[in-house]
Amino acid sequence: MMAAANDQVPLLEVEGLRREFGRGSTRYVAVQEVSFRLDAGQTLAVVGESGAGKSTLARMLAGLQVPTAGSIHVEGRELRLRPGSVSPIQMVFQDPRDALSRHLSVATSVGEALRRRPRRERAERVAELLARVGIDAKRASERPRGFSGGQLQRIVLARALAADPRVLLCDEPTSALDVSVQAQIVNLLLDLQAESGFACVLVTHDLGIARTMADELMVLRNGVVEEHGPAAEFFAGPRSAYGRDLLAASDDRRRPVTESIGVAEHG
Amino acid sequence: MSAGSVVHARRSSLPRLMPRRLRGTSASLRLGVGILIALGALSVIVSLIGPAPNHQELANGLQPPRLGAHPLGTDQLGRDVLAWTAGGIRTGLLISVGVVALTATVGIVVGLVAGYVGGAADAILMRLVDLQLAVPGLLIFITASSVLVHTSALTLIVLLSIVGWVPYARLVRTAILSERERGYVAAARLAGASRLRVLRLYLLPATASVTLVLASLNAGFVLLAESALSFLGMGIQPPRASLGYMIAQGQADLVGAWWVVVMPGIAIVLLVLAFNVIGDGLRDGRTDDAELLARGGGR
Amino acid sequence: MTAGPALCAESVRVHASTSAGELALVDGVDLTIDACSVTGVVGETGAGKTMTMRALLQLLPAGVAGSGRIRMGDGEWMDLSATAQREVLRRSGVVFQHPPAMFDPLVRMGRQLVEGLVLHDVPRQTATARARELLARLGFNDPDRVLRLYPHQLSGGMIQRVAIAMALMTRPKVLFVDEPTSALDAHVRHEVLELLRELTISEQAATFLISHDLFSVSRYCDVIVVMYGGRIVEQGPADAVLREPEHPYTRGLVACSPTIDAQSRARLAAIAGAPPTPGQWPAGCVYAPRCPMAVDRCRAERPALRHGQGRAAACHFAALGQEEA
Repeated sequence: MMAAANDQVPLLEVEGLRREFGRGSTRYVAVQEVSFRLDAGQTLAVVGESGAGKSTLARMLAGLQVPTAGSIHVEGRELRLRPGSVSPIQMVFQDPRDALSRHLSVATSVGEALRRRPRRERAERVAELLARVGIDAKRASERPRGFSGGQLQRIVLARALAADPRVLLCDEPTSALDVSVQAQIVNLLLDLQAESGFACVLVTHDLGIARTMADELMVLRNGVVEEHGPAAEFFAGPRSAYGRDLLAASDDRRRPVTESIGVAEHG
Repeated sequence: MSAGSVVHARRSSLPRLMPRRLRGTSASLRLGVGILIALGALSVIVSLIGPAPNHQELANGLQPPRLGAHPLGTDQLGRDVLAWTAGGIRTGLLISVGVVALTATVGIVVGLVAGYVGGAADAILMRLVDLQLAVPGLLIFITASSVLVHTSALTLIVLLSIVGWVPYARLVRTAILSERERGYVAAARLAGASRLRVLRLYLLPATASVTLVLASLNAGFVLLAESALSFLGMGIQPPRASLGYMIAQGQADLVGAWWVVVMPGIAIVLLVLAFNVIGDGLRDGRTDDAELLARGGGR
Repeated sequence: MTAGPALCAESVRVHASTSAGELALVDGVDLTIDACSVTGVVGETGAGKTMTMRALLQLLPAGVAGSGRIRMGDGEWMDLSATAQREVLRRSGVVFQHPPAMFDPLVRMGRQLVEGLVLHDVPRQTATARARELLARLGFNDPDRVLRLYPHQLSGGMIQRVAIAMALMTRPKVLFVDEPTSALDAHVRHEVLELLRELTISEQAATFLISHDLFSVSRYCDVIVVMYGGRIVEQGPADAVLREPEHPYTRGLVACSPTIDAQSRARLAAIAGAPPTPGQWPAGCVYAPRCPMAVDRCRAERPALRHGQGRAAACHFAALGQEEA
């Protein structure tokens, strides 16, 4: 369900994003040239294997890493992460235990973006957000230690929502979770996006998740964009050979045990 | 970087179980704290009801330990060994705690700034660290002590702190360098936390456990340093009591009047032991077996 | 080419001593693994898969104890103990989770591979030849080069395969593999599992393969054992179990896994609730709190693992081929 798209100014516009590391002979291009636009309520899945540059791209999008070249605009304004100001792009991380401070209560972590508001209002909003993501608000004063991975990921979502984000960046949001919990988180993400209308950039190696969540899909390989287009087109038939390989490797539908896909010689 | 492998993902859907109190840890902690409290209480009581440490009765010199007026005996000048030891314990604790507090504070601040701000600040501060390490501490003490006419407790604390902050700075800096890459720090920045807030609320607690362990072990070293200095005649001098001083006094009559050396010596041993045991207890209390089990596979 | 069961285990139980009391981690597991076949043990965190494996090997962490009986091949039944451990380890190869942790970073791979055999007085040349042979069968073009490498010079997929080679050096009857692919990319995953299957058959071993990934593993398994809450809830031929699960949990897992032919932007059929904490299992059926089909009987009476038509399921309502479809 997409909000009426403002054709003038896309919600998220990324142009020629590039990131290099090192100099001279040790120069390494992690992300070569990434461009895309997203409107409200849309999701772009960035897929690829490890080392493809997905994480570097995610960090640049979050404003945590300065790109070597290129620009990021949110609602027409250039993205610049300034200490003390809430970012319009919020993030969900792969490991929920890593994403929350061990020493702070859930309420403190979730309410970080609401520091400017008076205490009572902040507490109410935190309780509201926790309830929305399915966490018992009475547990807000507890530390992350007593929660399961799935619950922690919900808390991380609540924290992201507290900042009222225009764009939600999800870096492998379900890889560290059990299968039955993954589905819950995916559903929660879909629901929240339908309600709030934020754009979503989903970085994942799991094509099944990409299929469920994405409108658009981008395939990254060693920093280079191999394919980019509507997700449905990709899943119907990838244009690139690499894309076809990726899809074939993820084809986990049941096949008779005797059928093999052939062994590639490596060494 | 190895192609073909994503970051090892931990399946974590279960809450952590209650941490198991490994029997060793709380015992160590309790033992250490117990010793400190006992010695501290002893010294307070003795100071209230006993003679002044420096009170000399020349006629009563070198009395052996005997229940009554001088339970731990007297030295050549008739000073009550128990009173002196008690006073020495107070001095020792004062200096240890003072130095640890000062060095930890300075070291943590330097480490935080170097680790989080990085860049030029980090480079400068680390060169300062290298400088401190290059100069032998004992040399500084001895030089300074011979220059200073009267070594008060305060000057001694400052003196012993000059080099002591360095290990804290390095430890904290290392901890910060790895912690600042973690997800929760990034999230705090995205949520608009100021740099100071990130340092204070998110990064500082992460350094607490390592700092505490270092502090407790450091306290033992400081105590030994203080005793060594007063033994050499350079640290705390009478009328203020110091354990090292009395040991120096008792050297000459060691065979005949062993209590003058042994009693303060035992006090030093107990204090250092207490600090070390506390450090052990703090360090061990971190991994929980039950947590590992809950993660399904003892990994 | 089946040669009968390579390993049988009965009433395997594992419990841990914690401050919260005695926690049961595995609550009565019976297993049979046939030679020349791969048995996939599938389940989520806390299901007890790894603990079961470690109980069979008697390699449990401090504070954790296991009990039960085990029998290798045609041998005698033994209680799980130190004596049994020697017998089991003699005939087994093990690949633990996180292979890089299995290797000494300072020693070349070649030396680490032959170490076990050499310690048992096998001539170094023989051992090295065996290592070379295994590496070649595991898809390495240049085994000699790999033998000279250090662990950090190998990629994740390569280390995984070398770890499997190491486990196979002694020609084990049973191969235990714990989550061999959780840290690998999709296509490498397939390679590794494919190789595992091939080698199981050619070496006439029996493989006990642990994984949380139901789909990708089932392609390479003959039998699937689904564990939940410390016990087996379903068991049967891999194909059949996935196509027609008998147990609601297996059904739920299959339904909630996002596959590439899923519907776009549609919610997944998620299972409500979360997997239970080890040791805090409810009375009655351990899955009842999350089961859409649960009735009072399920909450009161724990269903036994019933067998029928080559399948098994621990559910009061499992058909198991008794009714005509």
